[in-house]
Amino acid sequence: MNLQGVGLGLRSVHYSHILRETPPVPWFEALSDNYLGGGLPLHHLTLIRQTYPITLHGVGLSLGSADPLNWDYLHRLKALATRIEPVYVSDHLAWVSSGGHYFNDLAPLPYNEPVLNYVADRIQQVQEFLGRRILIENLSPYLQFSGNDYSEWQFLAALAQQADCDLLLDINNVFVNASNHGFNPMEYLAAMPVDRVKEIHLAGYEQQGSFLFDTHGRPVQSGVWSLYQEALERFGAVPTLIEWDTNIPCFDDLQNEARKAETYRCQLQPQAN
Amino acid sequence: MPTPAPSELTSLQTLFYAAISQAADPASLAALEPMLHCSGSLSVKEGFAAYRGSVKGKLIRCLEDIYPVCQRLVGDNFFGGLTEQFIMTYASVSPDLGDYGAELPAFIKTFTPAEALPYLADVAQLEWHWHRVFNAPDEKAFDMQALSQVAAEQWESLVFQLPRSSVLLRSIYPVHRIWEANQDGVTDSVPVDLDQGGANLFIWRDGVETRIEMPGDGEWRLLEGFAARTTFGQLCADLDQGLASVDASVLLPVFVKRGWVKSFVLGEG
Amino acid sequence: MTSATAKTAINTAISSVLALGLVAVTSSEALAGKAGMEKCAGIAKAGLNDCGTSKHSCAGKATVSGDPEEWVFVPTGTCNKIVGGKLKMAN
Repeated sequence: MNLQGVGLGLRSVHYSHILRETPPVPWFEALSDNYLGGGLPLHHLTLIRQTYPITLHGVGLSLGSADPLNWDYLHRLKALATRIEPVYVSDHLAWVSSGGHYFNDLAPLPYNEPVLNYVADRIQQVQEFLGRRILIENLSPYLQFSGNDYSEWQFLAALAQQADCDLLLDINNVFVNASNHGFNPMEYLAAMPVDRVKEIHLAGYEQQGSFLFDTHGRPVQSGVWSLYQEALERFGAVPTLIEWDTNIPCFDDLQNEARKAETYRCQLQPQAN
Repeated sequence: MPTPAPSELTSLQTLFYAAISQAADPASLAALEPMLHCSGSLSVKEGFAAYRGSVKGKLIRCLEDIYPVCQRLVGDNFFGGLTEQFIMTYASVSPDLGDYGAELPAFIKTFTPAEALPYLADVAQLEWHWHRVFNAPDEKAFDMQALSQVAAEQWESLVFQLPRSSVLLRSIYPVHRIWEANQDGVTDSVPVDLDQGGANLFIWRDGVETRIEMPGDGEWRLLEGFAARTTFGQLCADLDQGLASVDASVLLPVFVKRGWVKSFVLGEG
Repeated sequence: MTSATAKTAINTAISSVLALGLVAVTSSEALAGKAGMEKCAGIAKAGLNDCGTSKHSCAGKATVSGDPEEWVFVPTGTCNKIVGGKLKMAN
């Protein structure tokens, strides 16, 4: 199945509205980690899946962690994917656990050769187990390690190549990251392999003192919209998701954000290839 | 053979975790600082603060979502203080935040400022169970076909099983009333009288609907017997004793019909 | 071991269960009128995991110094709607 257009992050406050109104949304993205049990959450996701394509986006794989892969988590994720038949399964270039302790937040990696080999191998194990290619997303790191052999964008491109995985490009994260760590976001976009970028994320950041926080708690900011236009030029009309996690607005407001993204996609000149 | 983790990565992540976890170990922080660099508007100090704040914020929000009645009972400030103390002691050990916070009811019992609210720990226990039952994996319906294949001589060795996610909760306080009166949208201002007596509660899920039941005495004794994995033969013998005898032959089919008994195994005869 | 009355109870119980039939057992009828409690709001119970950065801890709600001695923990919520229990508290 191919994804089209601008999808929305599925949030529990909107279940009733979606099931009652079946709004014209091309697809929804569900946070995998919230559907690894059963009951009402899985019931709602299953109902919504009857009408809409679904992508599964996770935070718990901890692909960059020195801890062994969490096979219990992987088995549950696989069961969910078997049931929901998502178009894509994705997680982050990050680690969320150390010594069995989780901080349930996405932490950055040092970007060097041994880490590249290690993470690429883990992605391959996951892909083999799930029987599908996964998408890896860039995050908003607030710290960076010294002595890196690669920039984040070089690392991500090399990783995708070595692990033979696809990429989920979060434009807001590129923007936040570029602003917080002082680099040119265009350089980031230029390094991404066009054929592997299968999905784009858009979200709102918040200013916190002199730096930016990736809170997913407000509308997409204007600088991110501009960068999105640049991304469309480079990658084409890649399926795009509006992500909103805190201060979740009413469904109409989410749809308005999606319409805005659609407008930019319509302005895109058809690729002559 | 999977590639082993580079040893530098293991030590770096150990330090990083210790530095941003709620204990915020200063030695780890100091050891880590030279390994980090700053090239933009974000200093290393601010970077650490961002992670520590975010990790803490996620854990606190998680406890607020799991324990809304407790929060309502004590107010935001008290609950904020309570959870702040709690997360200093208890780390998350699961990728799913829905697994975090099981120890809060026990923690409340030891939390001196909560002494004046002796029912609070039991209310928390009810909320935790409700949360777990709500999210528990779905279970198959009772397998009648399999039961029909058990020979009559083996019936007394049957061990009936309650739904895996179900819980029996006993409190000397009317925690179900406290819970009910503090749900979202309840405007009922009738005070809850602690002297109205305790509660025996059975929390389980009927399909996708999470329910709190108040079983009668006979039902309760049978539920307890099933929860203790007593063979049905032994249970019938036990329940037949004394003045308040319980007729399991009437209750068992009712339990199966309600979905209170989900499966069985053959125990020791 | 098992008394005659217990044996009768076992036989009656299992026979009655089997008499419910092999068709899927539904609980709705069996629970009709049963005074249980369910939280209807559960439909919107939020998923707990997300991938944004949390600013929740700086929301200014819980500005406690970590040391309980330095902060007066006074419950200010709806616990004043709970009455009685004096004897139990004294115990």
